[in-house]
Amino acid sequence: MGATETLDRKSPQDRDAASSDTSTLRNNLTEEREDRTRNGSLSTRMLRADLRRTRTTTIVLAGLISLAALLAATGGSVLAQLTGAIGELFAAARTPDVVQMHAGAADVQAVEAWAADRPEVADWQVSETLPIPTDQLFLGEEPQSGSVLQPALVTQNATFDLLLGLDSEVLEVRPGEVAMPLYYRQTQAVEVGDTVSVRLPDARFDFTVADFVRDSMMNPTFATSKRLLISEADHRAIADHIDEPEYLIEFLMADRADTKAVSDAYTETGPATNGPLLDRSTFFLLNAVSHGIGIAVLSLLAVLMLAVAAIALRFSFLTAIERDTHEIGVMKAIGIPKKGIRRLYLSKYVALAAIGGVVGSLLSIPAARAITSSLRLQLGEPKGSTWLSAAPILGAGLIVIAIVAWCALMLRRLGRISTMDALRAAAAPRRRRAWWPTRTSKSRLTTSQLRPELWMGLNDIRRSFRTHRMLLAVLTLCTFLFLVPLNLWTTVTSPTFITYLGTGVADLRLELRTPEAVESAPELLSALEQDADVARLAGFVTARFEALNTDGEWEQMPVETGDHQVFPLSYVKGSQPDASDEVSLSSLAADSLGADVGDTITLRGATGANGVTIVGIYQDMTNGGRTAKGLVPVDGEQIVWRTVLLDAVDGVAPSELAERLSSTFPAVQTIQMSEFADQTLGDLIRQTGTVAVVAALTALVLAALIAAMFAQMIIARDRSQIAIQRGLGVSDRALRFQYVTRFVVVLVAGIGLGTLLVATIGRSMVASVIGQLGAPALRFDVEPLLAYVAVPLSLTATVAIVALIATGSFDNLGIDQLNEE
Amino acid sequence: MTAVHLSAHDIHKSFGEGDAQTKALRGVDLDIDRGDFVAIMGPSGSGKSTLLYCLSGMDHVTEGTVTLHDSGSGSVEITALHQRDLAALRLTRMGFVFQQVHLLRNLTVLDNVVLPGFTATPDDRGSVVTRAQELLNRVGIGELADREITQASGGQLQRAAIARALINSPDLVFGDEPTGALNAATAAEIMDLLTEVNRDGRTVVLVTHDPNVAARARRVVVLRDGVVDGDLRRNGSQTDDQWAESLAGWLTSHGT
Repeated sequence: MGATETLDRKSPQDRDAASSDTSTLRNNLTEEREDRTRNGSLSTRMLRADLRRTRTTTIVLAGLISLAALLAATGGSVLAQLTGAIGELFAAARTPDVVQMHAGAADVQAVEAWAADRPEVADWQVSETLPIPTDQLFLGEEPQSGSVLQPALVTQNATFDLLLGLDSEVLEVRPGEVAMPLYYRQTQAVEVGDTVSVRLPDARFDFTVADFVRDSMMNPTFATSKRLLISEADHRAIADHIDEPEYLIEFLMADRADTKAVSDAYTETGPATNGPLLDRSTFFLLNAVSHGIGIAVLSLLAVLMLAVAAIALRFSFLTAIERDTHEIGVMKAIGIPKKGIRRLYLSKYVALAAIGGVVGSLLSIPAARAITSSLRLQLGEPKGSTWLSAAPILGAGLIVIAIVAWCALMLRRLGRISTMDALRAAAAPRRRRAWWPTRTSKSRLTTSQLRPELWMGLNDIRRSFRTHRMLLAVLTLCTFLFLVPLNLWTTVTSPTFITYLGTGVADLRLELRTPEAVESAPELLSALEQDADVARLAGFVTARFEALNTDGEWEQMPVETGDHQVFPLSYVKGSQPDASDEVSLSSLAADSLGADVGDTITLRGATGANGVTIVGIYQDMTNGGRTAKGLVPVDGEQIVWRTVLLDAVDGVAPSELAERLSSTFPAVQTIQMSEFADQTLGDLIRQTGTVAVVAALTALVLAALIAAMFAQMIIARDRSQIAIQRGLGVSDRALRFQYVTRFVVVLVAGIGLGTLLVATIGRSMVASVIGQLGAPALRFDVEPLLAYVAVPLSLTATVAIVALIATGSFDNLGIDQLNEE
Repeated sequence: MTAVHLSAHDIHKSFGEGDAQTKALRGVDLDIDRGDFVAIMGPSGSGKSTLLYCLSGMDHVTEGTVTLHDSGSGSVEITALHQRDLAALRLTRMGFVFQQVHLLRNLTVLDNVVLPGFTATPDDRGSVVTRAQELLNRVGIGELADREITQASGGQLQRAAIARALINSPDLVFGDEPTGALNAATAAEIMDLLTEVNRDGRTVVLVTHDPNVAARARRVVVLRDGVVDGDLRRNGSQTDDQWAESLAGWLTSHGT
């Protein structure tokens, strides 16, 4: 046999040995796999046993995590839909980059010449609009007098600023038809097929509602201008009856970065500047803010819910550790590595987080659809995109990651448990130090006059405050969550909210916006002064001035001139102007100019520039929030509009006076102040109401969940103490009283703390958000019955009921529990 | 004739259901005389603690009746009482001493003693406090009244537990291995106290596995597998040593 043969051919023994080795290896691998399966099953069995044992706690934790994930996913979804929808709407409508509104004759050729001179301008157009006084616009037989809106009839543009229908297609209407702004469908229940008529003094035009307009510029309630789309033929026919049409002079940029430069240039040198100038970013902001408040609230709620879940998880974890200290000691003693023990606990929390994330994501689908119904109506349904699908998953994913990271952090505590301490822990009762120092000279129960069960409940809180910290923190958050939106709602619906709209408090507000109305001002004022139903009145002129800001640039500054003492504003600082060289500014105007009370700014009008002293700062959420008030004489400046505020005499209903004045002065918009806020900020007010209801329900549900979880944990922790007392003959009723006492006392403290936080942090938070709209010094107009009676009562009732149910039966805490101590 | 204080008739107690069911007591009949000192013994799993808890109403029987005979107000069938009435009965008519003491951790020693007293007579707190302090003095730990329970030794805590058991002047005192967690010297002191309690006229029933402890009683009932295996009474002429020896001999011969 050659060497090669030896190498190439195994002997029968070698073959057997090799075969045996392979078989052994195969067996070993199989055993190892079986071991892992067995151990994996063991972990699963332990996890299942733990979940069964702490069912209520587990359900509550899963519920909290699901809620947090739901809110985050919904917020993400709404944000994605909002940004997507606005983007798609603007793209489909080819929203202009710069829009100059102009009242009066417009020299189209001058505009053309101006635009031709600007290479930045890619396209331009002048669109004629026919403003219709609200008392001449009828929905069915209902005149729209009393509305703060400024409706105007328009035709479809050719190339950009397109008015879209609900299917996002460019709208076309036939003669006799009108496409109405969505506002009317949402607030006035106008439907396709309804009749709308324009009843001018010398002619009447009837239309049938054919569709609704998705107007990329004027959809939001903040925009009081509304465009009603009619045919060219109808437009021509009506134009003959309108003395003073208005115009939208619109520009599209070749490069959007040039928008500001073109806007500034037009302000300086453009022909036809009798009105405000707005740009695309303003339209974007108006659309976003209308729906964005919901996102802000959802985000805040998600963060709050996450905080509550984190607190509850920590409490659950600490309770589990305390309960399992001995078992952990045993596991360590027999050599199970720290990593393995940690994995056992982490697996539960990872499972909870995963379940919560999935449930929250799934529930966010219908939730987001419900919340975005108004958004989708106004802006259209965004097309499917990766971002649209990913955003809610991302939101929920962030929550899951945060939860798992938090749990991993908490589980480091496991490493600090010494084996021997853990094994000994079960043998000796742990000393519980009171949260505050106790006097050891006297035994407290013996000296207390309280009922024993009441005293026991209070003593338990005192002795184990750490245990109650979680409940206190969450109930404080619940109170905060309940009160902030509620206080905001009572504030925006209170009659004094008017002061945040840059106007004094009066019964009626008359707005003279059309040139015809402005010209009729002297006659109107004279008639009002002699009107026996008018108790007092003040007339104002808002004229276009410019103010020099800190960058050395001139900014548009509409200044309202008139007697500001008759219907004074609420001032954040200072007071109303008393002299012609004094002005008060809105908060945003003051910020924009970098000025404060006492400073002097330069105001430029038709006759030149003068220094004026700022004597007061007020809040104004209307007209972009940048306004000024003064006694500056109007001498050649362009008048933007006139207003009159008046009070009716006692005994005369403002609504009746409003109706009479409307019919006497049809060109003037007569608005009851009680409706002014609603019409100007209707969306914001409605959203605030919805948010207040949602927040209230969330707070109550949260309080109930946490109370249930806390009750289960605390009773489980105290099971031996309960059994001892039952063994001694303490009645179940007395025991229940003890535990309910703990809940109610902690709740009262939580309500107190929460109310304090609302008045401080809560108010600041809301003011900083609302401040962006012009009211940075917002103060809550608290309704005491609601805030200080209804809220505490509802929270107390919820927590007390849950506590009573949770402590309903101690039957299962009997004698066998004694032997576990 | 010595009156019967507590009688149990045909007591059965089972735990669990179906195939997992275990019978802890299988038809126990027992009459305990007023003022007697009874020890219940038996190996682990014999049902002695279960019997004690059934006699005291802390646990429900599966079958049978337990009756408390009161010289003043007649008899009460404990097994027929509602939970609320049972609690009231335990509070006022019975006292309990446990192996692991079972004092409430958030209360001082004195607070632990007065708690059942305040619960029973909420309108007479002053008397309860006075009585509690007297009891603590009597059991030898009067100076520990304001101490936290973590600041006292096992023996001191067991004395406090005896004081708590006596706060409402019960005529029946139960003990479940009251010396089980104590060293021999302390155990002896505790048994001295319980003997004293019995001499006051109270019926004492305790469970023990320790023949030395059982020998302090005048009657020893031995359970095995849930039934009464033996019932020994000390006769009046026996000395302590003779009784202990007789008891030990019986236990040895019966393999207990």
